[in-house]
Amino acid sequence: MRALLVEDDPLLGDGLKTALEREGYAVDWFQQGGNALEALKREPFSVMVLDLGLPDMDGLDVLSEVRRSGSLPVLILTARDAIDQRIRGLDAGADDYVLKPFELQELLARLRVIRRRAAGRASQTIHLGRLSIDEASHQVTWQGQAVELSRREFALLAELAHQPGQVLSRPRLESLLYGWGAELESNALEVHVHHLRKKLDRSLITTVRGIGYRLNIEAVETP
Amino acid sequence: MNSIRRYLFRTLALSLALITVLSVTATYLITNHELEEILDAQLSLTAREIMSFLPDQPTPLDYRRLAERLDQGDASARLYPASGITSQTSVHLPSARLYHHEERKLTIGLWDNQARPLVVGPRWHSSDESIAAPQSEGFSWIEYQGKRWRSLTVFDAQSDLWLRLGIEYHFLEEIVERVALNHLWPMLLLLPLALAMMLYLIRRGLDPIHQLSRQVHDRNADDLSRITLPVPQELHDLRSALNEFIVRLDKTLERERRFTADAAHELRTPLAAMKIHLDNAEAGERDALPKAQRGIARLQRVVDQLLTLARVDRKQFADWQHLDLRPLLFELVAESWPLAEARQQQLHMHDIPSVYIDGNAVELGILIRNLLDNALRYTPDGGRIDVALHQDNSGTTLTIQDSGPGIPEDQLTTVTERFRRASDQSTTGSGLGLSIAMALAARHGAILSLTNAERGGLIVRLTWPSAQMS
Repeated sequence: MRALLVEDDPLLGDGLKTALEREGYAVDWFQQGGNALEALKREPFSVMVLDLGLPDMDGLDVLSEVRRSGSLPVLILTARDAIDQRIRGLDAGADDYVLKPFELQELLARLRVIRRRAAGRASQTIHLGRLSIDEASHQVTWQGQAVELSRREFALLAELAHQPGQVLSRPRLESLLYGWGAELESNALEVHVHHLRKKLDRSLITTVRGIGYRLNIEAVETP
Repeated sequence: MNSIRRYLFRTLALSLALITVLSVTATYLITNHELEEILDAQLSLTAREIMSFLPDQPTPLDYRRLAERLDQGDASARLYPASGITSQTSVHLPSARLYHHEERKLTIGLWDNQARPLVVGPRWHSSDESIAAPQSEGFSWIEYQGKRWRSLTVFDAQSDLWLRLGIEYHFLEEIVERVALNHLWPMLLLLPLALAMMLYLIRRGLDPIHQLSRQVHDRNADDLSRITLPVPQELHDLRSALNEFIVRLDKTLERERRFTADAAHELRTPLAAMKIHLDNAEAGERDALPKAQRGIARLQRVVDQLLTLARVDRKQFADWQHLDLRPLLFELVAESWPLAEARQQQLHMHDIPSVYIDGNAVELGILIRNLLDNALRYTPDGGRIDVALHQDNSGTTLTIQDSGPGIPEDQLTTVTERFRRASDQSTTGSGLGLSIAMALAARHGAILSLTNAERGGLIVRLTWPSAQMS
């Protein structure tokens, strides 16, 4: 789960980054809209948190730029509370709208909702055969049994489960987990995969040699 | 102010009445003149006719016959001794009659070459006095027994007689009066129609004014679009003045709207930051609490400045005094000293003269403190701030120059607007300090200007155009 945070206020941006990271997001934080758009061209993101009052350009312009290029879930974070402002924001393609000041838990819940909606699911729990993943409580059950996972392990499993059967490349998984420019051990991903296989099932995650990993649907469906 | 409609109606009605009077008078005078000419011509024709019938040597019988013909029944002609008939002075014919009652106003007389009367027609003689004898030829006015007569006098060389014909003036006057009155009546009868038409036309002519006021009146309070109603030329200026006012109003309202939006942003963002850092602190983040404290400090600053701005906006001119800038400056710089020292900044004062200005010490303190505070905050650690006060022809100028990054040229003018701050600065401020300074400077008759120094840094000048050095 990689979040693109665009907020020009240093104090608020810092606090948000910390809070989102605690929730398991890999956060890339930009103070200017232009830089955020640049990053968006190069890197994959799961969700975007966008402040409207940016120094270099209007947040709504950033939003329409984002909408031109894809369907990334976007949550607008702003102090502008006039109704017509909100309507403009939603019409410009925002998935949700949160007013400052906000409750952190509410913000996180709304982020989960818009991600879920983007994935085309109504429930916040992913059910895949014997596997179920609750994104709100970070609860994972395998064959009805609760499994304890670390923050990274959970994030990796969630990313794979969002697109079951699809091969996710190594660099993509790394950047989704750690964010751009993070220093990481060369075998960090293998370690997480190894732990997941051990805690759940050996055949659950298939290695596609030299390319990346995918969730093995057959192993999930049939006991 | 009177109503335009009433003014137009009154003046037009008066003009109409005046024109009527003038027109009737002119008719009277012209008719009088023309009629006089016609009657004069008539007199001369009659004189010619009579002369042509006069015998060369008229006998007493001829005079008598003439006198008989002139008998009007109720008034007769008179024969004088010079005519050769002495037995009767007036001649009455049983058959004499008046052909027309107005005949009384026309008459005739004959005199011999020595101006002795021969025959004088009715109305021109009485028992004791006859009309004066003719002396010269031509048209003339004659007074006889209180009546005016228009007369033509001719001397007929053939019969060796003076002939005089006359028409009473009253006759002419009556005709002229009748003509003039006949002209007046239609005008008087048409007057109500003319007034009604005037009322209608005035009302119609003023209708665009009503339409314009109706459009302005019926306008929704949110509708600040231009007035596009087509108006006659005379209202173009009014319409464009209204439109200009609407534009100004729109700008003011837009500024207010932006101020509210900016205030919301400046108040809510630190609040949001505080909340999230407190959440982080609860979740065990060790350095989250001091960050929340920073949010509180920022919020406090914004609130303080908003309150200051509200006070400045209220425009109270309390405690205005004649005060010396020099001690005030020293005090303010001393106050800022610990801040500068903490960041190893050099705060320099150049020789400051005593300059007296009229103002409020507290407000001037807020103003200069804001400028100093800005300079200190935007100057990096180890930087330098110079404070100077000098005088020249243009007045007294307080200069505060820092060695900070300055302000991008395109933002120099907008940065003094409320909640505007230079975009690429990492130091956070509410963006209100300069607008407070601007408002206070204006209240003290001073001009605040910002320029970038050539070697980097910002120069803030506060100029009092009229301040005197002591």
